[in-house]
Amino acid sequence: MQQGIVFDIQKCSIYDGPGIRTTVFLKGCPLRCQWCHNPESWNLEQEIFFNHSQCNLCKKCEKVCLSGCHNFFEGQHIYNRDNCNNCNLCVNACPTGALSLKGNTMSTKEVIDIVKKDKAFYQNSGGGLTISGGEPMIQFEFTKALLKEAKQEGIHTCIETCGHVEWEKYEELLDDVDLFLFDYKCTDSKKHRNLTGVSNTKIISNLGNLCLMKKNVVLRCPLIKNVNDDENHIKSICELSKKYSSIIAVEIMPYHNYGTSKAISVGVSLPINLENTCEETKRSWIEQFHRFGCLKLGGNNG
Amino acid sequence: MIDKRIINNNFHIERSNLDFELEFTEVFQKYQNENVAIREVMTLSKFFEIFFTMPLNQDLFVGRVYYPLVGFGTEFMTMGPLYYCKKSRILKILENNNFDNNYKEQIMNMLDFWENGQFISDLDIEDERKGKIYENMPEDMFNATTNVIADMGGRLSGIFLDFDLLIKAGLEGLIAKVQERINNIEKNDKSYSLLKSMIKVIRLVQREIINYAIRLKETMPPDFDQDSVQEMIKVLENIAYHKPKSLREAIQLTWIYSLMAGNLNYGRMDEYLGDLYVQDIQNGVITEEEALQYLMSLWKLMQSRRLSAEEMADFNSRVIIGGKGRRNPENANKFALVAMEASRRVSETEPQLTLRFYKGMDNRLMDKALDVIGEGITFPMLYNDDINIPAVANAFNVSLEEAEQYLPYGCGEYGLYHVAVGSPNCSINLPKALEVTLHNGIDPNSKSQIGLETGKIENFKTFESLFDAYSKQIEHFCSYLAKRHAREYEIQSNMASFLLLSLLFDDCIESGKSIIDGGARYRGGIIESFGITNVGDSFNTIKELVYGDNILKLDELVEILDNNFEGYEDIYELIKSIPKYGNDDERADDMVRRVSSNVASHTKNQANFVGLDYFLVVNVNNYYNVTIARETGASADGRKYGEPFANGNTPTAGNDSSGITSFLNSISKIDPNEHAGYTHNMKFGKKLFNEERKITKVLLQTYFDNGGTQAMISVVGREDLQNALKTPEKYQNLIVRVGGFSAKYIELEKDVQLDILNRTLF
Repeated sequence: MQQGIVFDIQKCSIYDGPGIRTTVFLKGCPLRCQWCHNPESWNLEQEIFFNHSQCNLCKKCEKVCLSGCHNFFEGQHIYNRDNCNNCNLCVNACPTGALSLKGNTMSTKEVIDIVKKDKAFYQNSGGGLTISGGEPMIQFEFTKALLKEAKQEGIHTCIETCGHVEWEKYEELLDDVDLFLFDYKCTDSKKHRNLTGVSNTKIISNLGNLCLMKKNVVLRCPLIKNVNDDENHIKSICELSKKYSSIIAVEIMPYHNYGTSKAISVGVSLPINLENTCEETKRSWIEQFHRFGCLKLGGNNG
Repeated sequence: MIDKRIINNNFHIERSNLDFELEFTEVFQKYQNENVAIREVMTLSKFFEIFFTMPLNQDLFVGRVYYPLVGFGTEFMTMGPLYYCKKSRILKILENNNFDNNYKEQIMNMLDFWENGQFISDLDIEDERKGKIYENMPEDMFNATTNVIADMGGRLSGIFLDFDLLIKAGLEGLIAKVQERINNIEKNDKSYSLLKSMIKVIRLVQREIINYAIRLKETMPPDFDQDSVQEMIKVLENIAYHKPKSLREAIQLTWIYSLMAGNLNYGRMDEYLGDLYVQDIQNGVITEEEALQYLMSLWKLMQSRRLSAEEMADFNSRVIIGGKGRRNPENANKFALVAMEASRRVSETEPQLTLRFYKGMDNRLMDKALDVIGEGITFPMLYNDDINIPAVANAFNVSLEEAEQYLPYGCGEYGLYHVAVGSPNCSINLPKALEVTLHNGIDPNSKSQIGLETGKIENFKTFESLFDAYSKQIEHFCSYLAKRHAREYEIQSNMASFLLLSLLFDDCIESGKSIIDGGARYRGGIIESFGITNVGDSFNTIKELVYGDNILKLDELVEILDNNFEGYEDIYELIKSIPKYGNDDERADDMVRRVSSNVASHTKNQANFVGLDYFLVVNVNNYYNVTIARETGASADGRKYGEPFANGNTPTAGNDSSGITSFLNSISKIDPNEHAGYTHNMKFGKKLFNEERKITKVLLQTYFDNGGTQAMISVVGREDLQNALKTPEKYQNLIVRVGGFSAKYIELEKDVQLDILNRTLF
């Protein structure tokens, strides 16, 4: 039985593919997008999540920690991860839930048993299972097993992917994925590397291959004002949508700084912490998409 | 004679004398030893002299009322049950007025009479009211808030009258129907007095209708124009002796009748008003908008009725629309749409509009319902006929055809349309029953033995032995409640015939018997149960901690509960982490299902023993889940001393943290075939409910397909987000959109929450 590391399972998910879905979030991501809204997914391993605002300064964590990671001075709780050996004693000791774990090891069956429970909702709404992350392909065998199980149960499947994975892996999954939610973040390759840590060559090539294989794709485009919302990029998205009939919809995902505090809680830093996208900006983007002849703008552009 | 100031319909009216109450008492005394039905007519004749007040605020119908301090009623909210005497308010008037000694003495004699007589059900003195019902019952069984079972008085609630018959026959037609029956019996027949009294009481209704017309001719009510008053007079003069010919006349007649009969539930209104509504529209007698104005005026009168009886009266009067078993579904559906629009526009708490629906019903009704609910009105409440009809047939042991006439009332109990009486007049506190089981029958609060001695906790070597002991306690309490209910009918039938109710109940005229004296086809009773899901979760915790993982011994757990978890925070946290009902978790949900079936079957089994046609449990929502919980000790589900129980069949606030689909799956697992109504409150965000209507519809449809019986939906907005900031644990399922994805509101950082609060809604 395959096992994987899951950091959340969200029932009644209505914005990650069609209908009512259960979204399974897997740990691990090859990208380091500066605007990431799920930074707790970056590392493949289980990790400690520290939410400052829930800490009541009881110092129980300080007492149990053998590595001296938890320190208190001047009414502040400082958590230093460098010496952490993941014994998780502090999490067990924490009475408020300020310290918690992100990532549980689960078997395929455990996940599918949970997913199966809402089958009637999927059937009535055209929904199903979405595997998200992180990048689900990082836990490739697990993702593959989940998709296979789901298909055997007659459940519609989506994966949300950043595209930066070996083509062979996609190829292996083609039969078991009904819809790819494919992220497309930046057209300029050099800029792409700056913003996400990797080049977009593989991403563009995988997108092309999926489309050639006639797989249904929804292109999901995070847009961040003055970062990647240049006319060239928007135009390029529109061109892709016209070029490939396989792309059934294009969704704009306007930037929201939801990830910033979570990044602090898992001890990573996000270079981009901007204002949330205002309605006017959204309108101007939509207007540009229309101008460049994109007829597939859909989903929930809000 | 009538106090001139009684033109308002507010019970706060200052009274400068108690002449009416003295006169009413005199009439009663005069007929004290007469036949029950005759006495009722004579006293009602007096009662109605003061009852009706003038229309206000441009009402389109007459029918505002004043309740005198001595009188006759049906339910608490119409001052009943039976004859009543509001002693404390009378004493207050005595205090505030400088009456002469003779007058004072008359009043004191009156109070003495009612207090010591055998005819009264409510003296503002709890024990007195119960006294007669509990003769021959063990003492200390009923101590309203600290014990397992509590009494709710001998009310006759959930009475649905056959207004369809009233409208088709008119008052004269009704008289003819009774007369026909009289013609077929001998004068010395036992039912003769009752039938004769039925005719007399209809004459009283006619008298009051005509009196209303005369008063309107004599005194122009303020804020009304001549034409509208003339129209009212015309309507009254028509309905006194002729059957109603228009929607307006039908509404006026049923409204006056309902006020005089003292029943609070208005039945299948779309059926009995639907034909006249369609006829009037088709004939151009009224426009759609005028019909809507009628209903809005009626809705406002229902709301005002609520305020005319008692302070803080919580009415829960229902108007039922939709569903199987209506004789005129097409016309009724058209009316139902207008009724929903009226609720949307009036936006009050009365009437509690209720939509029954089934697969194949006109889609416009459900669409309209969701639109109205989406505005945050919380009405209509939704009832799933496809599940409920077969379930009611099972539970009430009636045919499917009869079950088609199930109607929810009050807080969510089911009745059968003009064939069944069966009021929820007592309650059972299940967490207290478990607490008592864990203390060998003793209530830790009062230290008194209120339950059976089912054994010391050391003796419960297995989980099943503990459950058996609990089950014995439940059976024991249910058997008392059944006896109590049967005794209540016995007492009541010697006190009153409830003529106006009996007239519009099937079989009563034919059998010549009153509704409570064997006239109604079904005479049943209902127990309101509280805390089913808390007990389920408690048992599940006990099973895991004590009999599964051996983390604690049962006596240690009881010790922790007795200490209200104080000093045992670690155990408290551990308990919090055990899966609870509401998350689609098999073990948790199965246990709640078991606890539910247990109390349901113990209740149901009692009917035969005491000669009731049915005796069923409900799990409904009202404030009892808060009040009776106040003196109930900590329970093993992590509920601390005094904290409220879960609301109806919905999970304890905050326990349902796995999303709405899991929540819906859990609550539809409870077996509907053995109870008389479980309620389910659910909250939806405005954005999800209204902007993702397709999703909402699928959620509800799937829930109902899976066996969901009913739903009471509130669509929440900004204020809920604000509350979620203050008490996040109660808003586990509040999902909001943040950019390209959605998130649980309470899990967002403060600033994000504030952002959404300021931005997303409205």
